Amino acid sequence: MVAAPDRQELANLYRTMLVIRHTEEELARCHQRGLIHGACHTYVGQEAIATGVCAHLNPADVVFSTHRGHGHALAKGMPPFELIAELFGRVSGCSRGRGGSMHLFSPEIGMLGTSGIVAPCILQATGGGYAFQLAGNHQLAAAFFGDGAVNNGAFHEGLNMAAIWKLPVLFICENNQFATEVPFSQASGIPDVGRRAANYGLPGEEVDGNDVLAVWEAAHRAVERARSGGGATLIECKTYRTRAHAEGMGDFTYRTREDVEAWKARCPIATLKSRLVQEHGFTTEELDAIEAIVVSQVRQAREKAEAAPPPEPKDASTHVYAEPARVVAEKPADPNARQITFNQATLEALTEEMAANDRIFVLGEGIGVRGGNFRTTAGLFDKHGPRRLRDTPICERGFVGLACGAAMAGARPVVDFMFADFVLDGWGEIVNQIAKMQFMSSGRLKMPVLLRGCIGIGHSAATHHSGSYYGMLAQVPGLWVAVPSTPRDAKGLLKHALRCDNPVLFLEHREILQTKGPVEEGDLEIPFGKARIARAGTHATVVAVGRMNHLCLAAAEELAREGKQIEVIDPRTVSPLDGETIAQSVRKTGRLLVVDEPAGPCGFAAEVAALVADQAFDYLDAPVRRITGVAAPTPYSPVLEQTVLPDQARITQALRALVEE
Amino acid sequence: MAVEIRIPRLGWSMEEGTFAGWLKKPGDPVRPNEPLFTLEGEKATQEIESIGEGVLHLAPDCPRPGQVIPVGQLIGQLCAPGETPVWGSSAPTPATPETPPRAAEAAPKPGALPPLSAEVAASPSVRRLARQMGIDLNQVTPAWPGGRVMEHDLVPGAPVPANSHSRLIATPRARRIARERGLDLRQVRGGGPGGRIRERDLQTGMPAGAPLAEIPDNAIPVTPRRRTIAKAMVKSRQETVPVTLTTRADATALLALRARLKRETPKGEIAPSFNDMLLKIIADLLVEHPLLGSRWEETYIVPPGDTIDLGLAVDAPTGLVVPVVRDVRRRSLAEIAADSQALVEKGRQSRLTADEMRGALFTLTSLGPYGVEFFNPVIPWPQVAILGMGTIKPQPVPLPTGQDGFTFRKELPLSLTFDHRIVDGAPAARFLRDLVERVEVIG
Ligand SMILES: Cc1ncc(C[n+]2csc(CCOP(=O)(O)OP(=O)(O)O)c2C)c(N)n1
Ligand SMILES: [Mg+2]
Repeated sequence: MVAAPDRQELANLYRTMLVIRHTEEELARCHQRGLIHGACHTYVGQEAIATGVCAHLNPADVVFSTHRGHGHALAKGMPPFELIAELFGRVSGCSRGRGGSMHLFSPEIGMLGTSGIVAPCILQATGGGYAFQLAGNHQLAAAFFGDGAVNNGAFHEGLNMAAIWKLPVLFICENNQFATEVPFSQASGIPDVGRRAANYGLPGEEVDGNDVLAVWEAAHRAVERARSGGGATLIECKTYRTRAHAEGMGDFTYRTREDVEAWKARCPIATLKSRLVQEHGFTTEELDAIEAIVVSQVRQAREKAEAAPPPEPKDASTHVYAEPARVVAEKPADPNARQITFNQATLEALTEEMAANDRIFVLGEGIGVRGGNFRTTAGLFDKHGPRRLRDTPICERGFVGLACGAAMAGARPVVDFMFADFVLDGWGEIVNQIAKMQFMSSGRLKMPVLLRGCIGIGHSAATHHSGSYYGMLAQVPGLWVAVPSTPRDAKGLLKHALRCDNPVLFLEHREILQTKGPVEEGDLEIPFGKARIARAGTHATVVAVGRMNHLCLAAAEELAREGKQIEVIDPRTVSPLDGETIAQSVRKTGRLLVVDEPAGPCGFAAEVAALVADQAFDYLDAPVRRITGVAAPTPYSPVLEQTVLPDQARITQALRALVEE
Repeated sequence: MAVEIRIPRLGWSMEEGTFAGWLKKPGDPVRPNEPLFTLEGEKATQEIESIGEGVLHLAPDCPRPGQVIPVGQLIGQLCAPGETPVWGSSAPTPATPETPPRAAEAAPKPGALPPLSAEVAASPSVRRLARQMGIDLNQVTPAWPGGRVMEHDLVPGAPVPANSHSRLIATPRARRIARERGLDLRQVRGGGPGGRIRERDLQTGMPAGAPLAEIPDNAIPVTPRRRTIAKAMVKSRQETVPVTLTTRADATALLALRARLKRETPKGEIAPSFNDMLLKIIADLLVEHPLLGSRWEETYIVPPGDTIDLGLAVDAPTGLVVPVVRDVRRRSLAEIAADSQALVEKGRQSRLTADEMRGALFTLTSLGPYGVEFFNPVIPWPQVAILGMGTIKPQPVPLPTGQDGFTFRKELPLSLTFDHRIVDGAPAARFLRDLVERVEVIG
C-alpha cells in the first residue's frame, strides 16, 4: 500500500509551501529596499521539495544544505523572523548576523547548516548519518543540493561512503537545470541524476520536484529505509527556479522569458491548491484563510526583524574556538616515569580515551584490523570493532567532510591521515567547514574533530610524504595545531585534543616516532598554548617544534660545553602559540634563533620573529635569526634531502654566531 | 715574500676555533710578536701573535667574529709594502694525508644554503651601491676587521668613520638601556658586527659594580639637556686652569642709570637690566683686553674680531642654558635689552636653537637674585673667561679723607674666572679693574 498524507498533513504541506513562498517574496522586496546587505538566493518555484522531504523529519533529524537554503530552514521549522533577521544582519537572526543568506544555522531544530560552498553538505550529511549509526539511534541526516553539486567529487565520495556503510542519509538533488547560468545538459553526460545511484549500490529515484505529493512519497520511502537500517537513498527532484539565481542578477542571458513563464504556470503551490480542492475535499475559502494567516505572519516577522538590533561589534570574533569547559593544568613531569616511545605514548592516549568515551571513532586507511601504518591504532580494532575503527576508501576529502558532519551531529571523529600530505585533499573541508562551524553557529555547534598525521622530512620519503604544513594550518582561525616533540607531550596533548571541543591538527614527526622518554601512566593531560622550556639558559633563546627541537637541544648541549647557556623553547602547539613564554625568554636573553623544518616564507619562524619584534623589541640585543628548510619540494636522493633540511651543525654554528654577535 | 696567517691549533685535540676578532686593521704594518687576532680554543681565549712582518691583508673569506673555523684555515697575509697578496685556496692544509680536509666536509653541498657565516654582511644601501659600481661584495675586505662592508669600503677615499659606521648602530636592547640610564651611545664603542653596540658594550662603560638591573624606583632620568651640561662642565674642568678674582664696584651710578631708564621706558616695555649694562661694558672692554675674549686652539690663539658676541647664562626649568647676544658693542643698550629679554624668555621655554647658543666670546652669569656675592663660575670652554655678578648690597666704606667713621654705599660684587693657561693673573686683574671703573662711571 502506498502511504499518503492525511488531511492535516496535506494542510501542513500547503501551509509550509506558502510560508516559504511569502517569506521569499518578502525577502525579494526587502532586497530591493536595501535591507539585505549581501547575497539573497531565493527558493521560489522549488518549495515542494523542502516541504515534501522535511514533512518526514523529526527535530532530532538533521539537515545540511546549500547557498539556496531558505526553504530548507523554513521547512525544518525555522520561524520566518529568524531567517529574515539573519538576512538583515540582526543579532536575533538564526546565525546571529554572522552568516546571511548562505550560512543559516539552527542546531536547536536540527538545521545544522547551509554553506556558501557547493557540495560539502553531501559529505556532512554522510557524517551526520555516521554519527547516528554509531549512536545506534534512529535519526537520519538529509542533504539538499543542486544539480551543480552532482559533478563535484563530494557527491561521488559521499554517496559511496553512505552506500558501503549503509548510513541513514537522504541525498536530495534539486535539479533546477542550471548551476548559475550553466545548463545541466552541458554539465553532465546524462540528463538524469537519480539513476546514478545504482552505480554506488544505492536506491535512486527521479521525481517531479514541483509535485509535493510525489516528493512526499519518495521521501517517505527513503526515510523508512534509513530508519530501518536500509541505508541511504538518492532522490532527484526535477524542478525550476522561477526567480534569478540571486536577487538583483539578470536572468535572461541564459534562458528565455517563455521558459520561465512556462515553469511559473507549473507553480507547485497552485498545483497543490487545485488538487486539494478537486481531490481532497478542501474548500478554496479554507485554503485562502490559511494563506491570509501566512501572509500576515510573514509581514509581522519582517516588521519585527526590521526593528531588531544589530550585533555588537565587540562580538565580531567570539566563538572562533569553544569556550573551555574546564580548566586544565599540566601536572609537573615525573622524570622517573617509565620510558616509552612517542608512538606508544599516543597509542596509550587514544586507547584510554576511546575506552572512556564511546563517541570517539577513527577514520583512516588501514587503521582497522591492520592497526595503522604507523601503529597508531594497534589493538583497538579488537576492542571496538569496525564502526569505531573505520577503514576508509581512499577519499581524503570525503572522510574529512564526513568527520565534519559527524562532529556537528555529536560524535568525536579522529581522522588518521597516515601522512599529513594527504590533508591537502581535504583542505576545503578543513578550512571552510570544520574551522568555521563554531564561529558560524555562534558556538552552538561544537567541532571536536581530531585530524592527525605524520609530518617531516627523512629517509627519502620524497615530496609527497615529507610535508609539514603547520604554518598554513596555523593561519586558519578556528583550528588548533599541535606539533609535539616528546612522548610525554604527545600523550598529554593528544588526550587534551580528545577532550576539548575544538578541531585539532595533531602532527607527528615521523623521524621521532621511536624516540623514548618518560611518560606517566594513566591520566596525563597537557593544555594547548603552553610552551615548555626544554632547557633553561641565559645567552640566547632558540625556539623550535617537533624534530627540530631535538636538534636544538643537542646544539645547546654543545654550546653548554663552550660555556654558553641556550634556552630551548618548545611551543608544543603552533596554534595557539604561547607568545608570552617566548617573549619572556627573549627579554631575558636578548637573542633569538628560530629553527623550523619547513620553508621559511610566511611560516612559523616568521611568526615567532614577528611576535618577538612586537613584544620584546626593546630587549633584542642582536637581530632575530632563522634557520628554515630550503624553499623547494623535498627531494628524494639522500644527498639532496640532507641539503634542504636544517641540521645540527648549522644550528650550532648559528647559535655560536648569535651569542657573539 | 708574503707571510700567511692561518688558524693555529691551540691544543692537541683542537680541530676548530672560534674567531674572536682582529687586533689590527687591514693595512696596518705588523711586526713580529705583535698581537694579531684573538682566537677561542677549547680551553681559553688567546691573543695570537704575528710570526712575521708586513702589511696586513685579510683573506676574502676571512671569518667574522664569533665564527667557528677549522684549524689551518688561511685568514690573512702579511705582505711587503707595495706587494699585493695572492689568494689561492684558503682551505686548511691537511694534517695527515689520510684524513679528509675538514673544510671540504664543511664546504656547502651542491645546492645547499651557504653557511650563515659565509654571507657578506652589508646593508641594503651598500649592496645597491656595489651593484651600481659593478663590485662583487665577496671581493671586498671591510675596513673594520671582520665587519660589515660599508660605503667607505667601496668608494676609494670615502672617510672611514672611527666607529666604522656613519650612523649609530645599536641594538634595541642597548638603546633601551641607554635611554633608561641616560647613557650617550655615541660615547660607546660597539663590539658587534659593523660596530653594533650591544648590551655588553654598555656594561664595560658603566661604573664598576653598578649592576644593570638595580635602578631605584625614585630614580630621576637624566635628560639630554642635563647630559649636555654635564659634558660641558667636565670638558671645562679637564681643559682649563681656572683662577677666580673677586672685587666690588660702586653701584651708585648703575642704580641711578637703571632708575632713570625705568622712568624713561614706555609702559609695556621692559627697561635694560644690570645684565644688559654689564654686557655692554664687557663688549667695549674686550677690545682693549682681547686675550679675555679669545679662543685657545692649542698652537695659536684667536682674538675677537669686530663683532663681539656675548653669552648670557639663563636658569631655565630644564637646566642651565647660555644664549648668545650678538654684536653687543655696535648696538644700543635698548637693542641689547630687547634681544636678551627675548633670548631669556626662549631659554625658559626651551625654545632656543643650537645657533642661538653658539659662538660667544665671553659669558656673563649672575647669582645676584639669590643673595650670593662671590662665586666660582665655570669657564664655558673654549672661551677664556666668565664674569659672575653677585647681589648689590650696601657696604660700609670709610668717609672721605679727614673724616672718621664709615658710610654705606651700594656695591656690586664681581667674580672673574679666567683660564690661566692663556691669561696671567695681572692682565686679568687689569681687565677687572677697568671693568669696575666703567661700572662706577656709567650713565
Ligand atoms: C565550490 C564552489 N564553486 C563555485 C561556487 C559558486 N557558485 C555559487 S552557486 C553556484 C551554482 C550552483 O548550482 P546548483 O548547485 O545547481 O544550485 P542552484 O543555484 O541551481 O540552486 C555556483 C557555481 C561555489 N559557491 N562553491
Ligand atoms: Mg541548479
